[in-house]
Amino acid sequence: MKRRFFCSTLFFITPLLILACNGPSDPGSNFSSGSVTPPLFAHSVKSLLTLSVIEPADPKRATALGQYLVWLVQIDRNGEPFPVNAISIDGGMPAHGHGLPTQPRVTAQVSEGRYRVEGLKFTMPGRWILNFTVSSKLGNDRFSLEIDVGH
Amino acid sequence: MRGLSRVAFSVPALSVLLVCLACSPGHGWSEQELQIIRSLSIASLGDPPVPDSNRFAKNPQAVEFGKALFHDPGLSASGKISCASCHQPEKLFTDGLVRGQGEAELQRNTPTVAGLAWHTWFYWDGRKDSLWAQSLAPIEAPAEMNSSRMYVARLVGQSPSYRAFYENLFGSYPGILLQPGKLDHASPIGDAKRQNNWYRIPAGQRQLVNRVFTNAGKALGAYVRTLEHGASNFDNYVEQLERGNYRKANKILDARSRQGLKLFIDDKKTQCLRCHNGPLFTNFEFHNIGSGNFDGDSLDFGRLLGLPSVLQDEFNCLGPYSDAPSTGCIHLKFINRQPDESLQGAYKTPALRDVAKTAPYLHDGRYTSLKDVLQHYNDIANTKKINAMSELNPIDLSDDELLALESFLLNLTGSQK
Repeated sequence: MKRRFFCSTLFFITPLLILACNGPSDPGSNFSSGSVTPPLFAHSVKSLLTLSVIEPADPKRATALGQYLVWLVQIDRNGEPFPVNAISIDGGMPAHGHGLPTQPRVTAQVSEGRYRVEGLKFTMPGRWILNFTVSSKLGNDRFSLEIDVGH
Repeated sequence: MRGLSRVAFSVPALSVLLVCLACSPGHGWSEQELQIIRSLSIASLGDPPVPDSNRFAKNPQAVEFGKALFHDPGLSASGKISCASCHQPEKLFTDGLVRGQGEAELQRNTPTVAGLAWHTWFYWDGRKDSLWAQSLAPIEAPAEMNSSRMYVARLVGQSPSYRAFYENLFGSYPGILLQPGKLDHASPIGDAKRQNNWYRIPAGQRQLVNRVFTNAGKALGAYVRTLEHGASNFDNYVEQLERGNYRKANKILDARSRQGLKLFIDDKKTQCLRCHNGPLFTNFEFHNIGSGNFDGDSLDFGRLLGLPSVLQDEFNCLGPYSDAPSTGCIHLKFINRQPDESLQGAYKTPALRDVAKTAPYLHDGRYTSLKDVLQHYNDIANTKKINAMSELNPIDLSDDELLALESFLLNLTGSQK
């Protein structure tokens, strides 16, 4: 009888102990599983144009740390691709007071309003600002992308 | 009845086992922290990249030739100094001195050459962009080996073993360089006599000298590319974490060192990972930590001058002695040619692997201990008054936290390969 009591007690207590012991060291306990890097997209200063990074479509791949990146960006007006005459890119990391380690530039116009940008490299995790200054038939305008680079 | 009794016995036994398993120590890391910890492990490093400017980088004969050159004091003008004099294998390819000592004392601390295969830029200021180009510079530096490209080119041709290596790898040796009357020391850099000697040589022969000299550099680069960091306590800890052996893992890295690791990867508290990230604990780039010397005899502007130097270097990836295809040299093609203010006094982020073996620290060897280095970061609010270009944000760690960080860093010492 005593033995049966001991067995059944352990039988019920064990799952509770497992739950109790696992609590503080749950691997996912501190991880914000819902955090998703937002798409790389910006309105221009004059709010007439938008800029989005088409490729890589995955924002994490598009902002991979320490790699030379190639982006395909699209500029739109009223939802339609919009060609510009020139694009200049600069930026940096405001929290550390430095600019870009590389000089990214447009290396090809792939189609109307779509441009290949090469030479991007994010060398530190954290928040970066990337400015695209453009000239078009609408005059000068600028996009500022805020980018969170992870590990 | 016997069966029931067996079940009755096995249920408590199983329960006890489950209780033990459940109460065994967890790893204590969030999934996000684990991801970062994995990214720091040497298992994430992969094979050393093959530089596109050196087609002999993986050639075993080039490695052997380069090793012989690396240890040969005969390359120096005095016949006493080799690459290994300052990059001593038993000191993880450093010299343990505050500042390097060749034919004279240098301005900077001697960095290790282990793990350089993964770097893009070389020297503290990145004035070279390949291991082979970097290997050639100390040979001609007056304060280092004080030799010259002509001297080395002739040495390669005169030594039977070097000449055999050379011709097996690079084709026939230009015998014209050994004709009587050729000047022993000649180079476009160095003192006036050497420069005069250099420009007395016909242009075509100067190119031949450069070709032999750079081929010797490519062999040196191939050898240095093989020098790597070994797995450390930290890597063994990560390996045990991955296997789920948390108890074993915690024996490898004690509680204080784990506290140090937690601080190291805490972006809010220390921001160490901003620059010291990836499996070599460096982002291979240039940063200003307020350590530049802008007055006095040890004037040193760091990357501000390293940038134009690498762009003007005849031995860079885009130069005539590079093996890179027209599609290569991305690092130079897209380099930011307009330095911002923060590059004044910026230096390349040193790798932290084997950091316990590479004292003294910083570009000028000003700190003899890791404690001093960590204190530099903790005092950055004061340092900023001295050097306004510093990129660092103030941190405020307690003495106990500084000790924990140091304890973690000491666990990055690897078994040397």
